[in-house]
Amino acid sequence: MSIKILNIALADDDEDDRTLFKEAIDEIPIETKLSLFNHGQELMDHLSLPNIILPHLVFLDLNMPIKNGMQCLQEIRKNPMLDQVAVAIYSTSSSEKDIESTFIHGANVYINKPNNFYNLKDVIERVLQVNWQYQTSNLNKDNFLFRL
Amino acid sequence: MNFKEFSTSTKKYIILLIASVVVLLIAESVTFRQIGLLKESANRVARNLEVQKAINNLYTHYSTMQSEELMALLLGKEIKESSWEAHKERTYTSYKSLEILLKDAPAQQKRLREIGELQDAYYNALGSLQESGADSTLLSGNRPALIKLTQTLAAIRAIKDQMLLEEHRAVTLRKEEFDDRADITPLFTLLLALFSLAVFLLAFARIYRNKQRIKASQEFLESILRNTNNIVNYYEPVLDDSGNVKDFRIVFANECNRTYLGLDPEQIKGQLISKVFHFLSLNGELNQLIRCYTDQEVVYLDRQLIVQGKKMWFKSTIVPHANGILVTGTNNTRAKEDEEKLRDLNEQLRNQNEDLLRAEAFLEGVLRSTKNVIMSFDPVWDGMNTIVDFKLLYINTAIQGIVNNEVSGLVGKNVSEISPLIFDSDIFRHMVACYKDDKLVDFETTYTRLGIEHWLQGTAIKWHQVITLNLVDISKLVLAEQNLKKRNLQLKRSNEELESFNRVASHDLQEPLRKIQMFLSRFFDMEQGKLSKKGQEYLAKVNKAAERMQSLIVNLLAYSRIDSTNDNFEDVDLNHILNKVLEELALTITETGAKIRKDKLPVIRGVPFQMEQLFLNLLSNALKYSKPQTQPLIEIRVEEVHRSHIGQDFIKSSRNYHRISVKDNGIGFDPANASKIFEVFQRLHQKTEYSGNGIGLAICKKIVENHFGHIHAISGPGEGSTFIFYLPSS
Repeated sequence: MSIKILNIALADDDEDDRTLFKEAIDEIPIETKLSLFNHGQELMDHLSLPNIILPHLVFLDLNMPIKNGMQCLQEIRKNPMLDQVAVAIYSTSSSEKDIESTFIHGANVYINKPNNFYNLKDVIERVLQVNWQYQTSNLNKDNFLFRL
Repeated sequence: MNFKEFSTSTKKYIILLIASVVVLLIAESVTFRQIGLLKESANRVARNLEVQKAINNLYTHYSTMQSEELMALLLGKEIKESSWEAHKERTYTSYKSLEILLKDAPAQQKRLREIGELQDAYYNALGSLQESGADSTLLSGNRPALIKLTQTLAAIRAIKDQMLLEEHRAVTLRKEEFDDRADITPLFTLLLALFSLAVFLLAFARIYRNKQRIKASQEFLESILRNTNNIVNYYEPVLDDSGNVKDFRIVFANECNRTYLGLDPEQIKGQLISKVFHFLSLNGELNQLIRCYTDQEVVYLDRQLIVQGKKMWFKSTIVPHANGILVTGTNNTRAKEDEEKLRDLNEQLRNQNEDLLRAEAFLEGVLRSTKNVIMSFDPVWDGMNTIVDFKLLYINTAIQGIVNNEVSGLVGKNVSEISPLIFDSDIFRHMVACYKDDKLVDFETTYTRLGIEHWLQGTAIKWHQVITLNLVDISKLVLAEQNLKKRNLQLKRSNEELESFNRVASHDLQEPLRKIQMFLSRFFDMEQGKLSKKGQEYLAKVNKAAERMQSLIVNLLAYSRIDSTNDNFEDVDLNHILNKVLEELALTITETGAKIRKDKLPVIRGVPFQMEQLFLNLLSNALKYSKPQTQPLIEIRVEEVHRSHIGQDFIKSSRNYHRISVKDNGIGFDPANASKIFEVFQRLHQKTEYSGNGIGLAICKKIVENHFGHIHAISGPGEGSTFIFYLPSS
């Protein structure tokens, strides 16, 4: 298994969260390339560009202006081109309703935004590890599904 | 058929027969005697002849002796004694036999004795003659002896003649007698024979006639037996070893046995009744039959029998008759059935009557007790086939509260007279519609009385061409409903506000808090070494406060999220839930060394995560509020109780409830606070002493109530507490 860089994208309207996320990713000893987007629309625009390297994993905040996380998730899942993209929901909401509906619409992971940096790092690392296994094994997005 | 005449004629015949037998016997004995007499007469004649012969014989002997002696004298021959002495012997014999023959005739015997006396003289004369005769010649010296001899013989002859005469007379007499009898006897016998013949002819005639009569009555009886609708059987007893009647044998059975019981009368004849009629030994009737026979008394039976699967009623009369019993059975099934039907019908009628009375009482009760105004009307038509008015037929007393008139004064009047305004209201229109369309009409309408608007709810129904109108003043209800609607609207609005608050709390409040925590942790990571000890302590306190605030927000959210909709109810196995909670609390349980005892819990209808929350809160409370230096003991018990046995006051929509209790041996609480603890933000303990945010039990209460149950707690300080909740049992 060749070592390759894991492409990650994060769409979050909160600047602090984006910064913290980046800081956490930087401290995780997995080689990654992170793209940051200010809202859902930005992400979707990027994904629709031709000849781009598709991210392996997309982190989606749910509560965003212009295009929210749920809309993004639905669009991603509708687009066959983005079939290989895994989606992790990254939200403050811990409501059962949100968790259930995102899984129904094809999210692979549901993460509650942690309230300290240590937990944030831990969560992202676990997701990346699992995603790594997902990428390198015959697991598919249908059976790659967990909540953190 | 005159049976009486028949029986008396038989009696007469028997008397006649006895009489003729007596007559015959008398006649027979008379004849027998006659013949006996005849025989005796004949015997006597024969003896007379014998006597005559014997007399003659005797005399012959005497004369022979004389002549022999005389001859011997004449001849001069030495006469030996034997010449007449030889005759002496025979004479003696003759004499003796004569003596025997004459023993019944004393006169003759006397004569015979005289002869006997003469015989001695005669023998002497003969003897003397013989002696003299030896030396003398005939007649010379013997002359006196000879005379003497001759005289004696003559005397004997005279007696002999007398005797013969006597005998002859007797014979003549007997002969006459005999002749007489010989004449009477055949005649008598003939008469007797004729009489007997007559008697027998008469008897035969009688017998023949009676036989004819018997035959006729037998045919008559047979015809009766054949054509009767009754079973007629005759049984004779069968004895056991000790001579008691144990059974009966069927001697006679008529055709009805086939008709009713399906038994061939010819086949059952000779059989035991217990074998043919099984029911006899089953229902004890056999004993009654035996009693009838032994006590010679009539037994009546009237009972239901099951014959060939059919239920039948038989009325039987058992009469002792001759050497047996006569059983007459009438099939009165039809009558019994009719009787039963009649009884049923009567019963039904009575019930119906009772029902009717009850219904009447019920109706009267309803009409008197209801606050509704109930009226019935007949329509009033004009010539154009249009209903123009209604005539009041009945009205209940409830109207008195509305109009001041007496009820009795209203009946018979037209509506237009009582309340002309009715033509302006909808009521008249609804009544007409009800009548014409023949359907029930429900309506609501308003009317104004004394300046106040009233709401009326009415129902008009047509029943047997009569309109019944039921009116109820629902003004209060309408008002209450309007109030309720207003309240609901308010509630809805406040709910919406609450919801938006929830949203704010869940997301918007949490966001900045999370940030605070996040940056605190960053700050702490990076600057920890640079801070003074005091600064570190303050930072830790800030962190703690932020954590506490977060916990509060999370719990508040959890509390507000317990929505009261139950469309997401599913079957929840509480055992499964409890195990999950215990797993979650495993660390605390191990740390505190708590002991958990639990019953097998039921499966209920509910929301799984809420149930989880409920058990989690209760168990963590129990663990949290444990006594120091005491091993916590938590008991989870369950029992099913009927709602009537639940003292707690709440709406019990289910018949049975699961009573689940969580009991601990912890610090407990003051019973005065038993209901307070379920309110939000009620904390009974110092913050520092026991960690808690005052929402846990409020959540429990909300969850239980959301599941149509009830929760309460009992305790005393230091006693441990028991949380009891009821959940509906399906």
